[in-house]
Amino acid sequence: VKQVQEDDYLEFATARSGHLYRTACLLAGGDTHLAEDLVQETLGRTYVHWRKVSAADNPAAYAHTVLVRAFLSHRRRRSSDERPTGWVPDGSATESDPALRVTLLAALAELSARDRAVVVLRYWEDRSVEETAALLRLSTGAVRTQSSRALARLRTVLGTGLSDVVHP
Amino acid sequence: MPFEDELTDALRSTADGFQPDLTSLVNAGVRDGRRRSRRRTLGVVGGVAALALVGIGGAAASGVLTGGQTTRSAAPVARTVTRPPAPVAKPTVAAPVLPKFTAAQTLAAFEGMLPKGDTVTQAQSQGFTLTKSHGLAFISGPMASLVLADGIGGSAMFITVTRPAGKLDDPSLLDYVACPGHAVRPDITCTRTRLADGSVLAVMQGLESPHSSTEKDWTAWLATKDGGLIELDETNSAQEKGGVSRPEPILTKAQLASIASDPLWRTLAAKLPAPRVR
Repeated sequence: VKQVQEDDYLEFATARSGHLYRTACLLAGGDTHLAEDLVQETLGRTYVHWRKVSAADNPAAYAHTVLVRAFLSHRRRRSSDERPTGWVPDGSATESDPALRVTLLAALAELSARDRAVVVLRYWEDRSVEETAALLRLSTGAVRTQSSRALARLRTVLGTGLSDVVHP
Repeated sequence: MPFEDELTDALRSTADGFQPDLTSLVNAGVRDGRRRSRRRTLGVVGGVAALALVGIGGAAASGVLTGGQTTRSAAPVARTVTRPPAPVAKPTVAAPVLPKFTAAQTLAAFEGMLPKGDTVTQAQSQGFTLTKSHGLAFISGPMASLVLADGIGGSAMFITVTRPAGKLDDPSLLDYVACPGHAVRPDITCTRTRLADGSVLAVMQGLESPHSSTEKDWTAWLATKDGGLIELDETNSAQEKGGVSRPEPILTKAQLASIASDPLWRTLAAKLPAPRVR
C-alpha cells in the first residue's frame, strides 16, 4: 500500500479545500449546499486520478479546473432550474459585511454561469486572461468580451452600491 | 478606486466570510472518490482506506492553515466567560488513540481466511495508520492486497476496513450495499443479505466495467451496525491492467461472503472513530 500517496492526497485535500470551497461559494452565488457538492465532486475526481495529478506540475490548478468545469456542467444539467435572481443565500457565512455579501451575491446570481465563472476566475482567483481562456476552453478574445460584458452588468446592478459597501 | 479593484475587494471579503468545515469536506471528497473508483480494480491511491478523520490539537481550532485559510474548529470547545478574565489555556483536544493492529497482523489474518494450498504473491498490507495534516488527523483502517493463484491462474484482490458512518442507517453507508439496478448494470448479479447481528452483506459479481468483455470484478461489501464498512474485491487478472489470467476470479461467491463477514473485520471497523456528522 502506498502510504506516501495517501498522505499526499490528504495533505493536498486539507490544504486546498478551504480555497476550493470559497471559490465554489462565489460560483454558486452563495448556495453553500451546491458549493459543498461541487467541492466534494472535485475532491472525489482528484482522488480517483491522484497518481497522475500528484505527478503533474500543479495539482492545485488541476483541482480548480475540475471545480469550474463541474460548476459549468452542473449549470448545464440544471439550466431549467435556475434560482430566481435576488435570492438571498443561506449558509454559515460570518465575519463579513452582510450588506456587501447579499448585494454582491445577488449581482453575481444575475450573470450567466459562464460570465460568473469568468468574473470569479479573473477577479477572485486573479487568473490572467490566457489562463481563464485555457480553463474555460475559450479564446482570449471571448474571455475579454465576456469579462467586459459581465463587468458592465455588475456595474449596472450594483450601481454605486459596491463602493458604498466597500468604503462606507 | 477603479471598479475592478472594488470588485476584487468585495469578492475577497465575501468569499472570506464562507467558513468551510474542512473535516466534512475532506471526508465527503474521499467518500466520493471511493464511490467513483469502486469498480476500478486495485487501486486507486493503493486502495486508500482513509475515511476516519478527526480534529486534533489546537492547530485546526486556532484556524491556522496554509494559504491564509481559516477554518472552524474541528472540535468546538465550549468556553465559559469568567470574571475577572483569567488567562485562558489554549483549548486542547485529546489526540485520537490509534488502535493496535499491525500490517503483519492484517496480512496474516487475511491469508488465514484464504483457501489452503493456493499461493500468495505481491502481498502488501497496512495496519491502523495515523496521518497528521494541517492540524487534522486521519486514521486509516487495516487493509491488505495480494495475488492469489491456483493451478489455473492468479487473481488480484484486496480487503479494506473503513468506517464511513457512525451507524448502519446512514445513506452514505447504505449506498455501498445497495445492489445496482439491472437497468444500470445488467452484468452484475447481486445478493443482499441481513446478517444475525444486523450487518448488511452485499455480494456483487460482474464485469470490471460495463464495457468490459472478459475482465471481471467481484466484490463483497459488509456494512456493520456501527457504520463500519468491509470491502473485499477480487478480479480475474493477476495485476492491474494486466489482462485476464483466468476465466473467473478465484474466490467463489460463498468464500467472498464468508471472508468479508468474518467477525475480526467487524471488530476492527468498530475501533475506528466514526466521522463527525453535522
